Amino acid sequence: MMEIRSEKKTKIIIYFIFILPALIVYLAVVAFPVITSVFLSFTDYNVYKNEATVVGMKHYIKMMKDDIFWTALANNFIIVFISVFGQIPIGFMLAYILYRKIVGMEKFFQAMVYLPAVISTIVVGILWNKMFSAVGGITKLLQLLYNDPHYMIQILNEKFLAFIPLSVVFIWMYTGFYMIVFLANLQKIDPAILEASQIDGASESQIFFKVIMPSLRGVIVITAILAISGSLKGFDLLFALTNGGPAGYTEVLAIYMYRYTFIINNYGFGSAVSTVIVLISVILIALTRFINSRFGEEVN
Amino acid sequence: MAKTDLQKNLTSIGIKIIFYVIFFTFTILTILPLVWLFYSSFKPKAEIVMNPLALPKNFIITNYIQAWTIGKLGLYTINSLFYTSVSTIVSIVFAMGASFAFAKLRYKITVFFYNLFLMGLLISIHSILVPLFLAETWVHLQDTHLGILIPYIALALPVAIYLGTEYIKGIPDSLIESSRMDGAGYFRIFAEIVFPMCMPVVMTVAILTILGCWNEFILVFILTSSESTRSLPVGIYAFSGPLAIEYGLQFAALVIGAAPMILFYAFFNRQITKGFAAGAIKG
Amino acid sequence: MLKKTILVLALAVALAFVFGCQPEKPKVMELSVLNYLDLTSEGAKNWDKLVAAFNEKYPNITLKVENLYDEAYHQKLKALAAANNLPDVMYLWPGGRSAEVTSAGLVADLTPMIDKSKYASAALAPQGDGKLYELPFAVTACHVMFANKKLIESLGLTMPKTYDELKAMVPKAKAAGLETVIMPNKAAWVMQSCLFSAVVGRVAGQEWINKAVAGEASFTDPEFVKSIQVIADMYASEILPPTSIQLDYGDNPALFAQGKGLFMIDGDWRTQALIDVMSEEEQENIELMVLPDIAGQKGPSSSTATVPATGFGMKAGLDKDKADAAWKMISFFCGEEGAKFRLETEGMPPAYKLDVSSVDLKPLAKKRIAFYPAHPGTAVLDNVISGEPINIINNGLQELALKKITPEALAKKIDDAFKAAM
Repeated sequence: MMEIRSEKKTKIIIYFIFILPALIVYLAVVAFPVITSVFLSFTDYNVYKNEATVVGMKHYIKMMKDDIFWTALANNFIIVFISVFGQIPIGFMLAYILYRKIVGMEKFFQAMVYLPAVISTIVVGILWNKMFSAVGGITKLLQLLYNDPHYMIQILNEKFLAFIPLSVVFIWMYTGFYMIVFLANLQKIDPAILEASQIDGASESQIFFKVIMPSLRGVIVITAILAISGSLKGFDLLFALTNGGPAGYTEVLAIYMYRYTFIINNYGFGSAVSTVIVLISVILIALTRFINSRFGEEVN
Repeated sequence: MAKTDLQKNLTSIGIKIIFYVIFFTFTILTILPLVWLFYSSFKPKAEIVMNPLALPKNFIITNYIQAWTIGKLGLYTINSLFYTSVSTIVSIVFAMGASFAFAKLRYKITVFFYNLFLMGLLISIHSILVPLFLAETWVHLQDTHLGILIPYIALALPVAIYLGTEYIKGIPDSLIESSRMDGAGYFRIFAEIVFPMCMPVVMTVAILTILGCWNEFILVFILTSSESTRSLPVGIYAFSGPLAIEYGLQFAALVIGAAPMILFYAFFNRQITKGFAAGAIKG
Repeated sequence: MLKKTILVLALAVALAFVFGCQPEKPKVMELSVLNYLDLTSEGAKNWDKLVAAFNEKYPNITLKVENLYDEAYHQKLKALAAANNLPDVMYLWPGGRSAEVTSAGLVADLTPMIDKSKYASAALAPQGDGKLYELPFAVTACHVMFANKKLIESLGLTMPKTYDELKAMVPKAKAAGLETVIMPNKAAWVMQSCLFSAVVGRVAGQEWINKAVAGEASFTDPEFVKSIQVIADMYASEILPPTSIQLDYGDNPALFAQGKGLFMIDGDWRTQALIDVMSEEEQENIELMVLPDIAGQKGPSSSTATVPATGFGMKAGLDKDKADAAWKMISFFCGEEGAKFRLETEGMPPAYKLDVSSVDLKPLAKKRIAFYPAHPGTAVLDNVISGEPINIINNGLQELALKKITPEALAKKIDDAFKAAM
């Protein structure tokens, strides 16, 4: 009896020895800052004096009244939209074409589509910034096409349309990732099932809807979750590409927070924005969990 | 019948052409900017501004030499290698240990801890940036190597633990039980049996972590300020800050920044793809 | 014997002399310095030379310098301030950007140490609560209109005397495929700093700016609205072409040097970038002027916007020896030696009163020196307004460029932001 109990005790000690290093580091970096951030968001923290006075909901009220906050939030949702309805379907389509071997040179094409995803986002951002700039490659090309040396890309100056050229960059950068994920999972489908259905005389579309789609339902949900969560992170790319400009039209929450905190030095307000980002993350987590339990497989 | 076959063939040829066009569009979009970047990096500053599309008239490599020396890109590359390798190794060891415990030493509390880590998959790094900066300032970790390694390790853990736990769950319990019968302790079982069996998932996690750490920008940008602690992406950004005018150097720096990952991809292309196939994103 | 005695005596005298002058071992003082320097820039090499010259003059002061630039500098300063661990000497801005660190009482007031007769009085304008936290290197003119005289004359045009004359030049410039004014407005601060501030100073006058900053005048006043209207008109008439808003800061010197536009609007600091890419002969064809006079202006004719430049300040509460060494360093880098060095290497006209005739300068650098006495200065807005209102002004001017906001609405928005921040 004693032995079993002590063995149980040892086992739980071993259990914690295994998880503690990860847990401590993780809590220190994620949990502690999130809590601090919530606290600071109700204060006027001054980093130079290292002093904080409580100001209540002031920052949140100001945020709700600020147009640029809402533009930033809307832009974040545009990015989610581009991811879920752009990158994922295109990635899926490309993966399917490669999987069914409809085109040749699959290895080459696959490499080309995925390549942008491995390059540093900051490099990609600066590169496309240069291409879109007034003296950049794309602008110059369009000026030659229109035969107008003063031509400029008007669309970059429109509040929501500015995201159209940017979405090209987003799709270019991340579609490859989804393609690889779908391709990997398509290749896990037992070829025997496909052969069997072909022998049974199923058409290409029947195979697609009856065999392929059902087996990928789970992956589609997971990629959607990844896309939604990843979209809140669209900082580096836009930071180097537009830095939120012109006039805050391409602002996203992360840049908005960055500007208020590190440029304007309003740490309380920046913390309030951080807290809002966390809240949105939590809501999205809950939402995707719900979607997952309804339509996908159980994650755990 | 023959006619519909012909039609079918025609449509399938049409579809094929469309598909080829789509893939070629992606290929061109990938290659052209990189080619443009590459040849522009051999142009002097004024030529880049005046004739952005033209091939270099005066082919110069001084851009590279200057970018490398005055931009301290050598030092930044070493820093990047250090951050990437240490974070990858430590996070894998930590994550596989935790994954083993979660998958095989089952306790009720596992559900809580495991979900806590899964939350991290969706938490944006930017939401913790401000307090992390302040916290590191308070404990004097700001602008130190350790101050970068700790968040890098922590942020790599959620994916690693998710993939690791799912993978280890697939290892039969009987294997572990029989080793227990033979008198092996859990540490030995982990080190000698489970960990070696996890190599495929370890590879996947390693690739994901390497890509993530090597390309990471904002944490180093905010949490460090000295040359001795900054990494390559931040070093490259220094050439294109708000007041930058040295476009030649900037382009050379961008090539230097992009090249390592393109090479990494060229060499590990198969592993990256296989990694995902090995159960990266659970289907 | 005599020889020996003399030798001993001589030795004794020599020793006494040595010890008499230096009764104790020379103390080496170490100063930590946080400098603002773009290591990727041309000027980076000059800094090392200046440090070497300092070491030669003061061998027993060792400078432990950390060179940082842009965000890295500001992040580091914040972290050091929060940890109550500021460096002994640090690079500071006269107003807005350094206000947080100076108002926290972390930086010493240099007023008692500065010999006011040796510096241009504009450079010693008070930097908040009447104190001087840094000794400026120079007086900066944030608005300069560089004119390509040769190009203007080749189109059969003359240098504009009034704003309307400038406006009348647009069609001819366009017909020749040229921009009238090249100005890189992709980054939001440029318009405010390099043009709008000067326009406000010109149209509304310095007195109005003082009142507005003190909260005694409103940003919805007709003077201010009219200033915004000038900017709107410059876009509408394409004095500033539509591409301006997509032009990166850094693109313009090359474009202007290659004759793609009649004028370029930027700060005086851009002179050196032009000198770098233009021959002496080409430089002779370039004139430094300002936006011509605007009908109904209340401010001084041909004014620009000026601000004392950045410079070094020292940490508050240093002990006497350290403060002494720190002042030696500051007055070396910002005073005579630094002034001469900067003039020779970067063509920067110094705040320190210096005989500039002895220095060999490029044509454009000479014109830059002649520029300052000819143009009275008014305030640069981001030096007198900080925090969020200036952010609203910068962003708002971009919206104005995109024709998404009227001058009246923008004035109202700025007024609201300013009142909320007061």
